[in-house]
Amino acid sequence: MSLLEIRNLSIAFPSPRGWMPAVEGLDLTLAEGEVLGLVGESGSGKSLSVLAAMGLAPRTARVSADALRFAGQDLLTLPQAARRRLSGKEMAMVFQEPTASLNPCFTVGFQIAEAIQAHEGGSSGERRRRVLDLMRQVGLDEPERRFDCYPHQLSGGMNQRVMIAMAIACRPKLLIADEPTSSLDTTIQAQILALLAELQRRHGMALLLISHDIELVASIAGRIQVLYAGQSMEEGPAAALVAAPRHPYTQALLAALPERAAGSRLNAIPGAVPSPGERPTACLFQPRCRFAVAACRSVRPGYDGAVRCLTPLDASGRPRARMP
Amino acid sequence: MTAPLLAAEEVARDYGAVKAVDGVSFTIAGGRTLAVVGESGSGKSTLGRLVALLEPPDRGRLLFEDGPTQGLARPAARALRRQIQMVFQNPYGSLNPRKKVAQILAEPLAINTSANRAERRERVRAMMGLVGLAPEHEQRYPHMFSGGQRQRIAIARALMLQPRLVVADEPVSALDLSIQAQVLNLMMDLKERLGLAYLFISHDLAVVRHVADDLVVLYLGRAVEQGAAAALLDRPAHPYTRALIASRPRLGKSLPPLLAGEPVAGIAADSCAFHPRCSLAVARCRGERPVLRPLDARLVACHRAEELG
Repeated sequence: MSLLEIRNLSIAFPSPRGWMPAVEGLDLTLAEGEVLGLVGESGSGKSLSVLAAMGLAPRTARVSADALRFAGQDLLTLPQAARRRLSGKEMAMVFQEPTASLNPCFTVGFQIAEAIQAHEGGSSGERRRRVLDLMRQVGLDEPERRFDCYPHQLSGGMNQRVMIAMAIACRPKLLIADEPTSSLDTTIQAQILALLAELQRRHGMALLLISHDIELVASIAGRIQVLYAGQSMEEGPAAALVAAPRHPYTQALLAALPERAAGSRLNAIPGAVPSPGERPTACLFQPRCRFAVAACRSVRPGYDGAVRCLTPLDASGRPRARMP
Repeated sequence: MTAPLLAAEEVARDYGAVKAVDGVSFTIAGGRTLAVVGESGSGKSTLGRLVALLEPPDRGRLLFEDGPTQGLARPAARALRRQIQMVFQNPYGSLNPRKKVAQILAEPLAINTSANRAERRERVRAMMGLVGLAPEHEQRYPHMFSGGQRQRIAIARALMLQPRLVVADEPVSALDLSIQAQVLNLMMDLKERLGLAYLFISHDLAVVRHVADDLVVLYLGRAVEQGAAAALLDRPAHPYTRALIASRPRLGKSLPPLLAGEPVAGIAADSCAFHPRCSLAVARCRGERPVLRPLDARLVACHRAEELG
C-alpha cells in the first residue's frame, strides 16, 4: 500500500484575469520506505505540490484533488487539529535555507527538544538525552557543547544537520527534503546527501527529495518524477530514466549538466519555465523543445503514468516515429 | 612578454584575528579566465573584493597593467575602477527593485561618463541586445524577471563602462542548472566578443572546468594548488583539489566519496591547514607548513604531492 497518494492535484492562484493554474492534475505516489526524487526547474510546482499535500499551501491558493491520502488517512477530510498532529510527526520536512529556517533567538538544542515536546512530551531530562542522541545520529560532534549553540554560531552545513535532527526527532514515516543542499558547498552537499540516505535506510522511512539537480537526485533516489510547469512529464526508476530519458525535457535537463558538455559551450535549455498566466495551451514544453513538430503546438499530450509526450524518445535519444 | 592585466603579489586581508586571505599571488592575462575555487570560509569572496578594489589589501599589492592600484589620485582611481567591474551571486539582491532596467543600465554611464541622454539610451539598447534582453524589457522592473534574466541584467550593468576585467562571485550558483548553462554560455560569448578577462569565483568544479583557463584552489585563505585549469582538474596534485573534484554527486554512482568535516580554523601556523581533514596526513603535516612549490607544471602546497600520482 502506498504511504502517500496524490491523485489529480490542482492548485490555482487568484489573479485579475481569473484563476491561474500553478499545478494541473498531478498524480504522485510514494511507497513506504521508498526514495522518490521530484525534479524540475524553478516554477515547475514541485515545492508547492508537496506543501499542499502537507496542508501548508499559501492561504490564497485554491487546492483541489481527487485523493490526498497519507498512511491510510484522508487528508482532504481530516480535521485541522488531526492534520497538525500529523505534520512534523509522521511527515516532516527539511528546507533549503537552514539558517533562515531556524529561530535565531533560541539554541539549537532547545529547538530540537521543542519538536519532541510538541508531539511526544516527556520530561526535560529525557528530552535532553534524546536530543543529544539525535545530534550524534546526524553527525554533529561534541553534542553537549553544540546543544547550547545558537544558529549563527554554526555553519550552514551544521545548521542543516540540526534541521534534519528536528525532522527525524519523532521518527517520521515520510521525510520531505526540499532542495536540502542547494545553499551548501559541494563538499557539504555530498555529506548531507549521504546522511539523508543513511538515515532513510536506518529508520526505513520514505524520503521525498526535491531538487532542480537531476544528477544529485539520481545519486540516492530509487525512482524519479520530472515536473514541468505544474505537470508530470515523466517518471520511472532512476537508473533507467537517467540512462534513457523518454521525455525531451528530461533529456534536456541531463544534457545541461556541466559534465555532459563538450568544450566550453554548455547545453542550455533555451528560454524559461512559463509562468502560470503565460502557459501554452498545447504541450507545455513545446516552445523550448528541440524536437517539437506542428502537432505539439495544437494538442496537449496526455499522461500515461510514465511519459507525457506525443513522440517520446527511444533508447537512441531520438523521437519515435509517430503512428499514422 | 606583455604585462598581465592584473597581478596579485602576496595579497592578504585580515578581519580581526581571522586571516581571510593570507598571502595569495597570481596573474590574470587579458582575455583569460582565472577561476578561484574553495569552500565557504576559504577567502574566495574576500579575494574577489580585493581584486574589484572594493577594499584594500592589508599586505601585499595588486597591480593593474603593471601600475599601482592603491594610493592613486582621485581621477586616476576613478579611471581604474571603470576597468574592473563586478557581478554578484544573488541577482535578487544586487539590483535596485525601484529602478527600471533602462535606469539600472544607464546609471554607470551617468555617473562616470559625459554621455548625454540620447547616447546613454543608445548604449543601453545596444548592451541589452548583446546580453540577450529584448528591447521591451527596458521599461520593466527587476521583479518582473526570472533569476536567469536578472543575472543577464547584472552582467549588462557590469559591462556598461567597457571594463577589461570582470569579477564574478558565484554568478550562477543561485540559478537552476538549465539556466546556469545559459548564463555561462553568455559569459563565454561576451569574453570572446569583447576580449574580457574574468576572475570567476565558484565552489563548483564542474562549472569551473568549462569556463576557466587558470585555477587557484584556496583553503582557509591560502592557495593550496594553482596552475592551468585543465591540468589541475585532470591530474590534481593536492589531496584537497582531488577531494573537491570527487565531491560532486555523479550519475551511476550510488554515493559520492566524502570529504569529511568542514574547514577547521585556527590551525597552528606551523602545520598544514588541511591536515585535520586529510586522509594522507602524516607527522610532518602537523609539524611543518607546506609552501607552494613547482611540481608537474603547477604550484602545489603539499608535502606528499608526489605520492598522489
